[in-house]
Amino acid sequence: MNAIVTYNVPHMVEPWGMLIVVHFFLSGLAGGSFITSAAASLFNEERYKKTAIVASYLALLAILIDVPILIADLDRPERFFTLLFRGSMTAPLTWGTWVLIGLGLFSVLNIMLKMGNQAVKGSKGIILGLGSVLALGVCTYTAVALNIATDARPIWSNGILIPIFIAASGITAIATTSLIISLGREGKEELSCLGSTNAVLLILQLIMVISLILTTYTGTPMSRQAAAVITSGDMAMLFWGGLIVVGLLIPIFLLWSSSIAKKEGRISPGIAALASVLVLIGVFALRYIIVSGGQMLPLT
Amino acid sequence: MNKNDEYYTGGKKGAGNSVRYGMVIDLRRCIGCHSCSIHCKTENEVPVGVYRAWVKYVDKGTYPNVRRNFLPRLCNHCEHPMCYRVCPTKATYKRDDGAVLIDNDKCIGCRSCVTACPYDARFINPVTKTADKCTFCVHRVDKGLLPSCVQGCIGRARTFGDLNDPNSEISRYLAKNPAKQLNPATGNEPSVFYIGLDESVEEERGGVTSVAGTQREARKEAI
Amino acid sequence: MNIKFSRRDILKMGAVGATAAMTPGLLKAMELQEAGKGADLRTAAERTQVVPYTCLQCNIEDGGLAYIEDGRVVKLEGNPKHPATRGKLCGKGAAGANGLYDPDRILYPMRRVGKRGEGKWKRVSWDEAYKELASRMAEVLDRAKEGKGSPNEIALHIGRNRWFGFDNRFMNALGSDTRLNHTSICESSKKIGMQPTWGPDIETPDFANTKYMLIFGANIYEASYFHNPYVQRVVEGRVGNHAKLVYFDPRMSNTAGKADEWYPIFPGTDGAVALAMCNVIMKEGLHNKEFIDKWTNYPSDKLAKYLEQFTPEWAEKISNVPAKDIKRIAVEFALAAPRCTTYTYRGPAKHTNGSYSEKCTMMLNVVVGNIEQKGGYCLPRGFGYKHPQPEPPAPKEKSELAHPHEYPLAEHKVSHHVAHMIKEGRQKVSVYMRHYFNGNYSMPDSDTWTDLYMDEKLIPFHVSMDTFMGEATALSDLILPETTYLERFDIENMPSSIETPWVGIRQPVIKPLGEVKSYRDIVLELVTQHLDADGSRGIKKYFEYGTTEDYIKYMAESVPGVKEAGGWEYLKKNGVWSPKPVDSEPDYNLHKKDGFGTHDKKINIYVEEWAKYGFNPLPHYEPIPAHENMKEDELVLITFKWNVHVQSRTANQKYLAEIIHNNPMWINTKLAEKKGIKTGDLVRVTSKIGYLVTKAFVTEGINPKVVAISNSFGHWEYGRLATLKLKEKPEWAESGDADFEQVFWKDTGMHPNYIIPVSTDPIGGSEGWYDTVVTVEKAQPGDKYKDYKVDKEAAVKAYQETLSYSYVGPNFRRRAPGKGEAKAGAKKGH
Repeated sequence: MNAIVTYNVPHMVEPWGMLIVVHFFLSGLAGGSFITSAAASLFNEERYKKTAIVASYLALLAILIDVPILIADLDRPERFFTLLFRGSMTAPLTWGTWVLIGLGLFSVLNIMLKMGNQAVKGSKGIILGLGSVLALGVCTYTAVALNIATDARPIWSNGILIPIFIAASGITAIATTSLIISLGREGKEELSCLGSTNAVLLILQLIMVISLILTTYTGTPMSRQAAAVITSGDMAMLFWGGLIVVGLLIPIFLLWSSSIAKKEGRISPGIAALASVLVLIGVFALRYIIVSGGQMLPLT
Repeated sequence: MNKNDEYYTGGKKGAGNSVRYGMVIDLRRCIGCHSCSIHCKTENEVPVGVYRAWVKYVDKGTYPNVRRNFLPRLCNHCEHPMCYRVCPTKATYKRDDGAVLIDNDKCIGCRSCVTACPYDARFINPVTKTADKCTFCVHRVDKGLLPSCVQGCIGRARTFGDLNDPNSEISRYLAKNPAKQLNPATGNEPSVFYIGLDESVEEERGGVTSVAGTQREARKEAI
Repeated sequence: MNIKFSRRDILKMGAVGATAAMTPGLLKAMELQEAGKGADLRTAAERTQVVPYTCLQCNIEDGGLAYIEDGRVVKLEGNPKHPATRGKLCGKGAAGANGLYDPDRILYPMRRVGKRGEGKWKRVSWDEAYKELASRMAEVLDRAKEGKGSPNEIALHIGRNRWFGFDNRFMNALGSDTRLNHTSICESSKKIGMQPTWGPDIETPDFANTKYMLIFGANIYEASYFHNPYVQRVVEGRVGNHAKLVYFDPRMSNTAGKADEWYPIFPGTDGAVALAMCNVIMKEGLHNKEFIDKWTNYPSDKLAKYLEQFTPEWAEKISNVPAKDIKRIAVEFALAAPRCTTYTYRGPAKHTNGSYSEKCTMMLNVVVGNIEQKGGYCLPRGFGYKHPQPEPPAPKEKSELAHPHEYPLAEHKVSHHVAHMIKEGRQKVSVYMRHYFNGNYSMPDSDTWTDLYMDEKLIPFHVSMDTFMGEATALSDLILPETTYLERFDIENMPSSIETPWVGIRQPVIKPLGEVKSYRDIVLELVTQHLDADGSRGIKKYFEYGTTEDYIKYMAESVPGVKEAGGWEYLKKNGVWSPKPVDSEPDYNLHKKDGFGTHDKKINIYVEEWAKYGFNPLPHYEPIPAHENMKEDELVLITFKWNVHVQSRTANQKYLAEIIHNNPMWINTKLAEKKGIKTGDLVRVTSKIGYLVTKAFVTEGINPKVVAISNSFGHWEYGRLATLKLKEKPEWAESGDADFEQVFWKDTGMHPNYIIPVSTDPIGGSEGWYDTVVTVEKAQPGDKYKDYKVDKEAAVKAYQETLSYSYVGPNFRRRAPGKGEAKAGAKKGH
């Protein structure tokens, strides 16, 4: 129908803006790094030694950068500490606070493990296991925060958001670890395994992103509008260019072809670094599209 | 964790003598004068640029068959408020009588509630830097007065009262006139009802163009 | 838990009532306690202080209650005891304190230093200010005594005039007839259409009880007389009685958007539609023969014959209203009689045929005989006041500026000609005082007024009684800071409720800020302490009634019934007195007591006086000269008012400005498509006296031959908020406003009045605000937003052209509308 809103008040356009996007990225990096480190340690500590170490430090670093950003994003930042003694079982942010703190602690323990500290040596399983659970929590609580927000935001209400965030965290962590290793001196032989793992994750991510957009697009007229903002509206360039092509298709191609092409099954560090950079751009774009794009449509 | 939990009825309706405050807005009587909005502003000292109550205008049709509809808006004080559920400090709470309120001393400004509200009723108050929204003027209601928007409505379009009391003005009014809630599919169970709701005022997200386009454009002020 | 509500914790209420709400639709009288102790439980609280007052944001004069805490106004609400207002204030009324506490208010007298209009001021004391003004006035009076001048050189120009005769006292005492007003840019032709016809200058439709409302150009949902009181009753009629609302307006105002039927009528053709409807009614035999024959001065069969020439087909060609709808609506209207009514305001009146048009729409009621019936078209109910004696006699010498000779029937003056008349040299002005009048903003052809005010030969001494540095005040020599309506004593009266007339007052709800004084005090002190301190000029004796409060008290208590009710003290406590309580049953058939207020006590369908000057004495449609030869791509520019603003004074009120703060030009979607214009594009609007560049707003809700711009915006003075010069604190301002930080809009609009030429109704003297012929194109390269250019010679030519259509002008004689009763100027498809 031909209807136009001729007067409305200026609502809060994006309650969750760029700082939150950065937080989502960093929290994904933190959680994914811990899991990467844990996986590397648990599968084959010797073969994937560099990965385990780099990822363990990444996890802590990401959290140390992330927490101040989170505090700065609050409108009453001086009250952040109240989160330590106030909480709600139904609030994702309460859960998020505790898993982040927990993960911070456990990433310290993990680093101590990697440094060979005697005190923690015996509890490797618990540290890595429990820590991974917390890391998973860190990766996913942000998706839950979006899901739970309201059914009135179609992009956010999609159940596939949680797996997308899990995959995104893994992708972020592996890409960053790859990048650091490829720029370093040792451990380059681990790159191919990282590369193929990431390729698999990227393919999964591509499928899930397409599902997200497709299910939203074919829903009610309102959800179609929400999807259209991303596929053909303000976010179109970023989505098709930044995410699909640069962030997913090209890296998939690079990682796949280089891992099967080389006879030794090795991937060149240059390719690995390039792929990592593109992937990181793509993941950041994904976070931005989902957070900001999901808020673009006016509510009632 | 604190006594706020006592105040959440969890949506119990008509349990014993519990009061459930609600409002009916009869859109046949609304003239779009913004009096409700400005009365609220002066009563609650709302800063310029943010609104606890406001009136949306939607034009529909093609010349010369054009109509204009008004949609006076406020917080719907839902029975199952998502804003309550996502607040990490329980600054947002729901009173026994249905009013959903904010404790400005507890709010940390994380804006989870602002994203969680399907009705765009919440905002961050630029002066207190905490979440803010319509309070059903509980400071007046507790003294036996009407909320300021109800008092100020020239067309007498708004009725406020106890939805749980079958003999109250509002219940009788609802019984006589079919009323709708906004976007009931969210499951929040709003306590604000509209009589004479035209589909165009809500359909804007479903294929209606906003003069201001997306939310971003609204801030840029196209006209 | 504690909710942080700053000062509301001071609420102290006694008994807590139930939570039941007010019943809409039922006119229940509420239990009221005396205001001051805590008025209605439903709507007030026992705050520190409640002071009743009368609002003056627009001119409806609603009754309000001001809640004061710690000497500060914290809330304004409607006065439930007021029979018209019934406890409700519109958005503008609620925001009244914005103006009161605006940081840019002028709080002490200021004298210009430097050149006029330069913007340099020095603070002076009241004594100095009075001395200068008194000496200037004395100079004129002394010269007049010697025969070398006239007291008429002292001019008082009042826009929003609530002086209630005090201006007559002042000026008559001085001996000056140069009392100027603004009514010709308001609705004067409507008044002139009505007054010779039935007496009063306004109607009171019984909206609450009617079944059919036929409204021409009165945007009752947003504005017009009496927006707030009447729309309450319109809503009751529509929802309670299922009354039908049919509305004519070229633009989709809120009334149009909610009407049952809206016709985007072409501007200035309401008279034609009304005549055609009357014709249909009489043809179908649905008229009230007894009423016409008994109560009018024209027999019904003669009237029917006369109306035959106005066919619906003829009206359709002129007005864009389909003939079949004209026929149907006319029949529906007549069948609903006597519970049907028309209502008009500026829509039909602000054209060169305004007086005729108003008369034509009145005829609809005369013809069906719904006058003074329940649900019908009723006389206004009001009171007259007595004044303290002695009162000065009227001056002998008439002022040409106040009564231009070309417009003998324009009882309400032709204020928008004043600038041109002064420039022509028709009358010398030595001292020019202004109150609530912003000439170079509010008048058509506004730049002519800027030129006038800047000219120190034409206006040697310019005095402003003003609250803000408005456009005209910025060009004055002496500023006397005046009170807002919340800080002074006034008497009030408006025929805004059909149930009962009422007497209202204003009183200072807080102590006036700074050194401001009310205009009544200014005049009183000027005369008694400076101009005529010893009484030798014979002026002082008219000002020896005591204080301003004594004066108002005298007037109020002169109404029978007020003294008995408790007099002045009662009024101060309650704000209003009425002989019957709120929501009482109206009396009808008032005309049966004394007839109508005309010379023969009857409704004058045939107005002898109009014939005397060559106008058509019968209801007549006179085509608008400017529209007769319009080219294909020419459009008509109309202006309008938003519901949250008045014509100019509210642009600086933050709670209103944040809702609407600019005025893009409304243009029809199809027309915009043709010209390649989208919403937000710059467009150039060209009239015969100039052009301006503004933004477009494309909408389905306007006639494609019409464009509309609201004249409430486009201020270049008037404070930081209205001009969005938020960082430039004027020297007289003491502070800013914390809310300035939250201002999110960047556009204050582009004023249209520059390019609207003077164009005058020869009978009523109204400015043809809705007649301006323009062309609209996308802005040319190099055009910037808010560019404009006025051709001053063209403006003067436009003035002279409009004079040529007055009854002494060559164009009038050529058109000769009054020749014979039968000629309606309507033949040959104009």
